Amino acid sequence: MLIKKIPLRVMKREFLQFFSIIMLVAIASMTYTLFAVSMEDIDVNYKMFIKDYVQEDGYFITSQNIDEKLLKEKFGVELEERLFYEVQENGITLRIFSISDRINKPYIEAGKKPQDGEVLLDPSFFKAHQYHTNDSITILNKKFTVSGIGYLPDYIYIIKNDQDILPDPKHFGVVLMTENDMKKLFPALPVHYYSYKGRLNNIEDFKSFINSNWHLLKFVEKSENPRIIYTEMKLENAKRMTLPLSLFIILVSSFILFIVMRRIINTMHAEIGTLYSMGYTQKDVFRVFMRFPLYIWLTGSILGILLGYFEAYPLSEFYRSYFTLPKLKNVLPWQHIFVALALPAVFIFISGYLALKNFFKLTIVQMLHGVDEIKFGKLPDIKFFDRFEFQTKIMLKYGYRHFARELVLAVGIIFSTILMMYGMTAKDSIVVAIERTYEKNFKYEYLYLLNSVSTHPEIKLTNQAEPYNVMSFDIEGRKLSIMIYGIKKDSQMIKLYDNKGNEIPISNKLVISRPLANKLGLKEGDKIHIKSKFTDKKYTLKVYKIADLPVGNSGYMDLESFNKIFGYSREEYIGIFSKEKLSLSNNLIFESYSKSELVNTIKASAGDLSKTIEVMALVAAILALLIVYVLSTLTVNENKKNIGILKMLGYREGSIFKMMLGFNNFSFLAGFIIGVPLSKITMDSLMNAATKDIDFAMMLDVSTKSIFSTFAVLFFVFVVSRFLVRRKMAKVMPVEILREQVD
Amino acid sequence: MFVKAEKLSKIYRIGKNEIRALNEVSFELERGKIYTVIGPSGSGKTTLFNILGGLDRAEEGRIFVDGKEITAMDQKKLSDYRRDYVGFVFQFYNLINGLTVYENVLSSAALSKNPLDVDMVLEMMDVYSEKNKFPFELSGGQQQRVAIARAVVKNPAMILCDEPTGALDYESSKLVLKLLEDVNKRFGTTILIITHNLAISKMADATLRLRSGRLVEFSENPQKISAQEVSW
Repeated sequence: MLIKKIPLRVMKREFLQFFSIIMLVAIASMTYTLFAVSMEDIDVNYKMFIKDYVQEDGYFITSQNIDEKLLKEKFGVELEERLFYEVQENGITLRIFSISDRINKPYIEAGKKPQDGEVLLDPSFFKAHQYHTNDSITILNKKFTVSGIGYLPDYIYIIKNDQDILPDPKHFGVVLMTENDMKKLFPALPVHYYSYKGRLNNIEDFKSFINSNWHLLKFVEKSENPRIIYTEMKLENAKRMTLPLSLFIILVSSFILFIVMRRIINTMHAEIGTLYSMGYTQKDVFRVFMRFPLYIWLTGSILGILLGYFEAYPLSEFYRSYFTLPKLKNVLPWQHIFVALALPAVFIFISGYLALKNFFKLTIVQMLHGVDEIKFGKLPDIKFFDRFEFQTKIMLKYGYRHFARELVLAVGIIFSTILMMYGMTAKDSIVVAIERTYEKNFKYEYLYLLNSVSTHPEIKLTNQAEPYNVMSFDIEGRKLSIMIYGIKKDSQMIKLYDNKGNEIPISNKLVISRPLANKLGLKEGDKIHIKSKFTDKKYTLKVYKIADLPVGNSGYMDLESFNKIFGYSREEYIGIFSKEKLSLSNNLIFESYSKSELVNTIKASAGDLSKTIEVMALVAAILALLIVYVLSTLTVNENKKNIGILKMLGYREGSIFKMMLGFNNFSFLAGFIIGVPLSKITMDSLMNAATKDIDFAMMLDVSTKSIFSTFAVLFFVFVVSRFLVRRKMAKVMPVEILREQVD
Repeated sequence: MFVKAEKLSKIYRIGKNEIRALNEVSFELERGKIYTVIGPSGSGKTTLFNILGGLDRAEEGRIFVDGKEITAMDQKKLSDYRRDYVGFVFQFYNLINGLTVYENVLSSAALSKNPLDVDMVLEMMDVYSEKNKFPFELSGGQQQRVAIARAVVKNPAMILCDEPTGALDYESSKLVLKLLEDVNKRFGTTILIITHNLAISKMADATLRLRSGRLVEFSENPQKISAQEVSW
């Protein structure tokens, strides 16, 4: 059928308009493909890795050697001891493990399994320090050969401390060596580290049994292990973003297509009527006009899928190195490619069909004489507008007449604002969290966690150091835990403030962090029901105050009361906050870190987020540009006659622009103003959903700088698109309109 | 008789008002002749054109074309009727802007069971040299000639023209009338021209005069002149 050529020719004639819609569809398909394919790749490889290399169900640390056989028989779980030691040299912490055979087996990507005198390094540390296989590394003055790269199923997100937010491979790495070398290097290992695999019917019994027999120092279930759970959380987060993001763009492009198609049909009414008069049937004409959505869908989605597919692999690689996951299998998720193809099709064809449906209700005579156009051309009459001077009145009438378009423009700006703010807030919040927590609230420079709770008579504390005690509790009814610290009453190391900035005194009453309070919906005076992770003992504590700490599920009270409530002697403690580095024996220390090192590295890591922010800002800017441009161009195209007449009457271009498109300014501003708080709400709910069942909480803070930066970028894009539209308007000559009217 | 209309009536309802655009109009047209329909605005000319062309339906009465009752046809049959029997020429040409001159004519030929050669028709209409141009690149007169070519190429039994010279200058109008006359002579096509221009009636075999929806006169024209001789 020859008339099938019409759509392509029209699209060529209105190139920029259709190109913009195609680009919107392409961005939607690309976004979906990019995230879905890379997530699937990561997901499949992650699941394969943890299954094939036997990821633990949990680990525990005891101060005494356990009876593995007894524990296995009593609780029916698989157990494996890993020798473990931490070395700190030249500002670098190396966590050294012996190689396990049954649980948390290493996947060796390059090189080979280490023999005596050899070590495997974790991939991030290997890359960050530019090691090569067969290079040598010195640990405690002994030289080892790097035999390759090893991935561990329990160290996927390689953070040093449980409370760390970002990995820091420059300063922290995991090293695997033979048991033999471990024993030679560390003759007296201070603690015993065990991984377990298997379903425990009563985990509390298990913990109590270990604690009563071999003195449990730490017990971490898989679901509480940030090195494992962050990966799942972040994957889930990314998955949660994928569909709404793509759906939104598809909906916007479908709506724009609907408007564009209606305009095209209106301008072609006589031609369509003529086709009928020639003997073409409704089916023939329908098939021809449905080619508009067909071409837009095919070009947009295929382009989007290709771009997304090829970009998905670098993104997978980025995620892989971010989470330290090996690539075990190539994944080609056809189901997602099908969705990326089918999803836009559904909306675009529906929009095309709806645009045509009403037109086909007209009789051929109505089509030939353009009744439809007359109907759509009439301005709504609202008396309120008459109060304003002529140009403002017309502007308001245009805004009212094209209400749906103005709404789409505003929604587009809201969406772009959210997208841009999301990236900026992620960075802001990390910086704020670090600055506030480690600079405003935590005044210590060094933190030491000791091997046991005791009065530690061997340690002499100066006035530059303070003891603390800490216990981990499960929160009843929730899959959450809280770390409660006992600190000095007049502590100079930890300072807590309420949301008005007033210092909260440390007393016998419990103060909890705001993120935890928000997550649990607790207010001051509410009660919190908790259960010790080690002793299974239950406690009910009243929340006295909520401290404005940006990160963490934590609580604080004075050490004396802490020890009294939780059954310790008055002077006992497990850790030290210190303003200066302490020279403690390695046998006493379980974990330690310096605050300044941590602050600097996390700030540097936050800088890495800049790339993500740039990509998000770019996508947001392109979206805003396309939406504003297409919608404004439509108005100009539809009103060419009116523009010509107004020009002929002597109106200046600026005045005509204000009358026709002035309302866009309000829609833009409204979109931005609504977008800022909405982005905060969206991100909070996203964060709450993502961290609902895990021991991580962070306050999301939006800085004034981010708001201004977002506004500046979006406003610039708005001005550019308006400039392009204005150029289009300038090309409308009154004489052409007159000629058109003669014809 | 090629066309036979019996008491055709068409009523338009606008709110509570009824406008009788055609009121019991009856006439007969012979095959291979040229007819004009004249009358003031609102007399029912275009309504008659629409009903005769199968673009609209009459409320009452019957109309037969080549022995078939088009007033009893469903949409599909009406579509076939338009395809097989009728060619249309409109005042504002209604060419498809997305198709070239050649494609516009071919799009019509493609529907016909017995089409004429497209090139031949384009040559006949003197627009062959413009065949690869798009409609918006042509003058009004050229566009109307393409529109006639599009109507003719199907080799229909009847061509209906609604003010075919209404948007054209004198010279272009004369040329269009000449071409319609040529088509009538060469292919024996029945041609019905709706016009305000009384001078055009002089080249017709008969004229139907309408007033307020009624056929007030059906006059044969024994002193028919050629299109060349028509002037105003």
